[in-house]
Amino acid sequence: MTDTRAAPGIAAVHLYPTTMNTYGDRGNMAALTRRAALRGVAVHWQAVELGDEPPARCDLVFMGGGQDRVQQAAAADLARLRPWLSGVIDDGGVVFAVCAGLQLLGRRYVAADGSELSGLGLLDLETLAARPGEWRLIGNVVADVADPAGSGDSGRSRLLVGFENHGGRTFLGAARPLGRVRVGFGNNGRDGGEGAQAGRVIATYLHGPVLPKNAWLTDHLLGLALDHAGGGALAPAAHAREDLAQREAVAVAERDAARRGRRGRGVRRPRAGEAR
Amino acid sequence: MELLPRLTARCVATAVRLSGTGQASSMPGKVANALFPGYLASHARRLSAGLAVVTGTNGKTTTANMAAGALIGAGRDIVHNSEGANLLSGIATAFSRRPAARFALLEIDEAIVPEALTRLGGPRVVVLMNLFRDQLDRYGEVDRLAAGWLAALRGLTATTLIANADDPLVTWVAQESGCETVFFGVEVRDGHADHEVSDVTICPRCATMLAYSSRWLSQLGDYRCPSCGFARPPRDLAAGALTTVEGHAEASITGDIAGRLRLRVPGLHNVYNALGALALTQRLGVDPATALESLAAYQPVFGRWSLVRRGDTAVQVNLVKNPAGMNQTLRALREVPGEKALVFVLNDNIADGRDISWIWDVDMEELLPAADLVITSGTRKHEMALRLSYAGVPDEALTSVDSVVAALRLAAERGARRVYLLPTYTALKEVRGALADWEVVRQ
Repeated sequence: MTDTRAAPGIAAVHLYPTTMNTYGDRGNMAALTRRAALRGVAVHWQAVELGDEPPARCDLVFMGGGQDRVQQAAAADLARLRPWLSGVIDDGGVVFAVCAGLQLLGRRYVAADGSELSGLGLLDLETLAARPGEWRLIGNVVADVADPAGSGDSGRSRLLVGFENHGGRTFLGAARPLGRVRVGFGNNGRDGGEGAQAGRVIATYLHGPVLPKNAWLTDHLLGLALDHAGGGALAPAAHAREDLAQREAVAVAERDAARRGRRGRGVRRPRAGEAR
Repeated sequence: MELLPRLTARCVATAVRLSGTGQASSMPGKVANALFPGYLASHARRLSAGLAVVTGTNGKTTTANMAAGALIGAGRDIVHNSEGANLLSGIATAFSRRPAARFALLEIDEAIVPEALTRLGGPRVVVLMNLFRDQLDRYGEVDRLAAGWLAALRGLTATTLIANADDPLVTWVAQESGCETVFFGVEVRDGHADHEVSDVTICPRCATMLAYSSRWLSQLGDYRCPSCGFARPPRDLAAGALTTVEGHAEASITGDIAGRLRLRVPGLHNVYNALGALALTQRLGVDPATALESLAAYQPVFGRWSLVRRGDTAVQVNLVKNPAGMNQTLRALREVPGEKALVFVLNDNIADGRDISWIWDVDMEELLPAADLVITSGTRKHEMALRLSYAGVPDEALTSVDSVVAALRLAAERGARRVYLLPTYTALKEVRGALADWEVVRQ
């Protein structure tokens, strides 16, 4: 029996995989590819490095975190890609960004010395570097995500768990937070927000990596991307192993929170030259 | 001045041993340093034959132990933190144990090099092994560690560096420091690490993307900056024609020393460790032929490819703590013939790094050796199992258990004769306990 129709596929772009690859970001790609494959959907990844031409059409763009020096190089190159990226978004494509990716999607980044680095302005948010004496925000995070955009999941809260490690404090304008932190610092350690979303642009500070153990978010991104690719609705798929890993991470984070309650916050001060 | 701190450390050591809570390699020095803040500096001033330091992300303990073996074999009296306790506490403990030694060989945690050298003074020799991503939550990124090293080494005109030429960041630190440098490296014509996560992708000097003609382990390879001319420097000591036979690595050595390197441990990483040890001992006046003989007899310390046996079951233990090390471990395991059971023990305690994202940067998809049984344990056993599952380990071969003892029991039930135990740093203690009554095998 030969199926003459092409198997459904998602065209995905990984921005700067060689340079922006810290904190297990590979796991995010592995999760997307793996959980798509469970539904017989192929994810066709294309790497776009500094200076590369992006493809004309794509359903999903992923951008990870990077060291300080490469992040500056990425910011310069991203300015070149802004028209393309904003075209992807206008066309209904999905953008998923982690940590540095979240900061770069925002309007601007204000360094400790007051100098400004322009962002893409695709999410209405801005990030302020840690001021002298302010602590770096490091640790396990558990957040509640209510009604992820476009999920049709109204009223149902989802758990998001991961690990944050950032000096920058992000404050949202019109963008909505992705979740509310139950454990951890989130965007700025003050307002309880974690990540940001606007339409099909979703960003988080969470590493860990975030997608493997939060299968619902992986499926949510895949569902949006498949819809954009014209592949119809995403079929259900098992997620027992993913849920075990999520529960384990939540338990660790909640134990940390209980301990922090007794001893104060265990986060060291930022040092000169440290990444955001 | 030093008698009191020393006695303090000895008393604490006795207490720790009596309580049975550990090897007493850190706590005695921790107490001594706290009560007598000048102890390290005053002891270091009495090291009339000087100080040698080994640092880097991977290979510190093995390199320092290999060098110590050759030095002790050549009749030197040295103080050495052989058990891998490489913070200020471990150094003070080592000092308190051998107060009369006039020479110290210290492995020092890569993140505390600046602070340690401030206390200890300028070493005669510093071996810079490599810089890989490790415990990002504690150490930050490799660029920052390199900057710390450079600040600590710059201006130490009496210090000789022994530096890994194959690591662009290490090379950059050595060249910028202005110190006299002996470069070592390996020759791998056809490196296969192009798909591996690399921690140094852009030129340390000018931030252009580095070009590689061959890359064999993370960022280690034959690199060149197309823009500013920064490139892998000529090697004063090189290893070529690398092979591993029956779990024993071999190579031919050229340059300042010519000869045949034979080890009882496998893998490219151990060839690097041996090169560092060879260059170091030569610098300290040990005859190269004697050093090569000593390396050929080198027995690993516990947890660094150490082997134990009970009945017809053999268990080999190797610490894994970052992607570069795990990649290299898996690669070495593929060189070992025969059926095997693998046990991954992943903890996320502070000394392991709370952030376990690194397991996802390991090249499992490419490098995981065939195994009939794969077991996970540790505080993050389910995440490890998920990682392995995503890498293609079938469900029927994959099990998670609550302890190392349970893992060994399961392996025995399934008839595994050869078990490879890969624990993170704090898990090594549990492994040590679980294997306490097994017979140590010379390799």
